[in-house]
Amino acid sequence: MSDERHAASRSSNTADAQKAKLDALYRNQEAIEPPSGLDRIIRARAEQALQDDSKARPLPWMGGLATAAVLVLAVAVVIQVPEPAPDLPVPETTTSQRDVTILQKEPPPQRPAPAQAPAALDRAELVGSRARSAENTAAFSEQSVAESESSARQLMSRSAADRTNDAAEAAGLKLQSAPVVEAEDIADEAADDTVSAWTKLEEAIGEGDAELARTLLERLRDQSPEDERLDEYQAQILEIESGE
Amino acid sequence: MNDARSDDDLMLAYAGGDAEAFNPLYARYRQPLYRYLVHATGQAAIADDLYQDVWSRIIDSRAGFKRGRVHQGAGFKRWAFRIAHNRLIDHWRAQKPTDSDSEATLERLADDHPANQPESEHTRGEQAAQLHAALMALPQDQREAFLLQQEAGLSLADIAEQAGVGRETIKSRLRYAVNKLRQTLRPSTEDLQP
Repeated sequence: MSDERHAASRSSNTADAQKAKLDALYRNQEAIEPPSGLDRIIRARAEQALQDDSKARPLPWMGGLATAAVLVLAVAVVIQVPEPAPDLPVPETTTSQRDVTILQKEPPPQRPAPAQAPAALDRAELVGSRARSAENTAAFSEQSVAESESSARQLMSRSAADRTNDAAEAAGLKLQSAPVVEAEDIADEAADDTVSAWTKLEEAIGEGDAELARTLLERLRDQSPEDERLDEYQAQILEIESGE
Repeated sequence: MNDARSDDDLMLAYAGGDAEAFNPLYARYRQPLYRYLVHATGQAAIADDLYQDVWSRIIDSRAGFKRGRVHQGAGFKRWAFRIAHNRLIDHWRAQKPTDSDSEATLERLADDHPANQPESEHTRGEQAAQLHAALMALPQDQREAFLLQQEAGLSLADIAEQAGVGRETIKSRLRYAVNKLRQTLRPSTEDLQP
């Protein structure tokens, strides 16, 4: 057993010695060197790479110049932009807090700006005819004659067509808000007289004005929530809206 | 030319624009990298091309060099020999392996036999030719592992990482390589004084 271990140890020592000799032999190969021409080429390439880097790097003052140019351009654009058109006079509304809530719940439908001017003109004529209709309706009720006439006069005096022409000259969103406020006004005026309101609701449905009809329906629902006609008119309004 | 900075520091300085940092770094690695390529390919002309290409890649990739984390200061050595190793792999893949590679190498080495060299260099030249021939007779993976250990001084783990195999596999390859070289070069290693 001892002899075997001794032999293994001697073999291992011999192998280590051979490995060391091999390493030494390998280390003696100092003569293997790259050609001097290659050395020169590689060193030159290393320097050239750094020079290319410095050329490709942007000049330090370029950033400041670019910033200044952008600022000048921005100022020039601001100066050249024309002043916005004067604001459209906001019609006096008699909306109560309840109406404000309804306005917030039912925002006006968004329509593309170019189509707003002709649409507003049509709407103004429609509002005018509604106002006249409201005046006629008021004549049948002695109690509401004065109120309806004043309502019609108020609406007529606003001269919807004139306002719409003004609005056509003005920009975007104000055009959208005017008809909604007018519908609210009509509804407010009519809601003071229940009989007149029902009549106007029927007319609005007959004319296919779902927006006015819905506003009137809401007013009437507040005044007499138990009325059976509400559901019927509600269904008709839905039909109009779905038809649109 | 003697610069006390580590390899990693020199490479980072060069990447940062210090052209002078390249010279000491090149001086340290020109011979190991060249010998590695010469012994791996067995042909000086191919080794020259690969050597130039390896240094070009080192130069072009300077911005991507990162300091060695595990082996402090040895990051460049591992990085440079990895580039050389990969370039060798590309070279071998582009070549069609032939059975006569080793024979051709031996014939080439025989042609380069230093018979006309001065007497004092004759023995060393003969040993170099024998070593070269013995290395070329090794299988490629064993030769690669041996050269990475000898020239780059990489650890078993580093060689295993570069070769994409396990540590024990590299250990085995090295053992086989050393045994074959020892057998082939027995007269030289016996004559050589340690």
